[in-house]
Amino acid sequence: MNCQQVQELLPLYVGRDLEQTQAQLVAAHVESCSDCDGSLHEYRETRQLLHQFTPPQFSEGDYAGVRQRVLREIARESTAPTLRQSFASLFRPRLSWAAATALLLVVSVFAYYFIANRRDAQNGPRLVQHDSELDRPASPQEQPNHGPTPVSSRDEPKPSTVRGVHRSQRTKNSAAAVEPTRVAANKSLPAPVNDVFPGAGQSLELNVGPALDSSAAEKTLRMEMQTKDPNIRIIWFAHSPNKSGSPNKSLKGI
Amino acid sequence: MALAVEIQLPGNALTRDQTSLTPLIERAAAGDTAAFEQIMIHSQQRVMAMTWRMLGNDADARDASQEVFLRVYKHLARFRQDQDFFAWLYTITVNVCRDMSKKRKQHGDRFISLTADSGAEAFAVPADQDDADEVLEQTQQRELIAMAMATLPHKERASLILRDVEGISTDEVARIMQSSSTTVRSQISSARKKIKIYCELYLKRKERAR
Repeated sequence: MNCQQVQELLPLYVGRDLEQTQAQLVAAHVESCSDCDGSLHEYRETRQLLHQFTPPQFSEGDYAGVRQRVLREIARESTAPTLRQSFASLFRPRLSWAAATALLLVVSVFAYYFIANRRDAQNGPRLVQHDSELDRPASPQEQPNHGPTPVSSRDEPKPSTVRGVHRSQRTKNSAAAVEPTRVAANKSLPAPVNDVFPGAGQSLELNVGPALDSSAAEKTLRMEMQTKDPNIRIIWFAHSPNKSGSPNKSLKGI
Repeated sequence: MALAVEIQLPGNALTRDQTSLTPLIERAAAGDTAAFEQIMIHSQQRVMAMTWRMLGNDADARDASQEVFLRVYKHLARFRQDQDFFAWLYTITVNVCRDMSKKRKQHGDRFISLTADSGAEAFAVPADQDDADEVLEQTQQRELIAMAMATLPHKERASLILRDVEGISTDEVARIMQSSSTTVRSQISSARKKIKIYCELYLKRKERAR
């Protein structure tokens, strides 16, 4: 074994941490090598110093202080609620829980009402039926010969067919208002009927009599249909047949 | 040439006191704080000495000792009777000191100034060593070793203290450090080399200063 190898093993040799065979080789080398013997001596002195690395003498008061703090901490932790107890306390009956539940119910009811109404508004047209006195001048929908004639989006309107949608404009002179109404409707024509009425195919028959003058006090059936477009609404007016027996036109609403 | 005397402490010193502790451990594990206090009284000197050597000052040693005993109490139910109680206690102590060192970042500041902190009078001076020069020399030697120990990494320091100061066998140190015997031997070898080099350099510098 050479000096370099022995120098590497000396720290373990000095503490008797080498295996027996290795220790014997080191011992044999140290006996014959003054340098390695000197190094071994220095290691031993250092180890002696370690035994003087003693702590100060702590007083009984120091030890008692540590024990008391430990016992106090143990007592504090034993009275603190455990995780299970903390979790269970959340479910004890409390006024605040009752109030929160009531508030949640109220909010839920309002939310349901709001959502339900909104869904109804989005789902196709809905019919609103009125049976009311006519208290206005002749509607542009009503014509002397053949009642109101709404205008289709693309086609020439047929006199007795409701095809499209038009905006009603109330004027005193219903006959004169027909043409302007048509034009206005043509200018701002909405999508074709099929697009407007997703449920197209259903038809309504209304009896529409001749135009009523303002003095008419006959009962009129008024049908309103709200389309997908919130700005467009179809209104049918129908009134009961007059005594003179004038022919009624039937209108088909699509 | 001066004569150096090696002191080899018995390796089984740890297990001597355990038989008297077994009933106390059982009662303490069941929640008996009076029994746990008795356990603390049995082991407080060992724990405080270890924490002081690892951390280097009184205040940290007390705080660390408190934390050690709290952890012992908390985990006492997991302690098996076939285990060595003091080895288990040392494991907890080493871990607490490591955690505290990391937290306080005192790795490079572990040097204790004997005059500033504990005071030289706190160290036991044998009655037959009244010679002031001898006392001064001992104080300086303690200070030297403290400075040298402060330069060691945590694991090397713990291995060296357990092996050379507490006198625990290398295999037992490996169990305490939760490591292998080979690793512990390597750590001890490195620590002893560093201490020796540090002391040599310090003494040479001092010699040059004179």
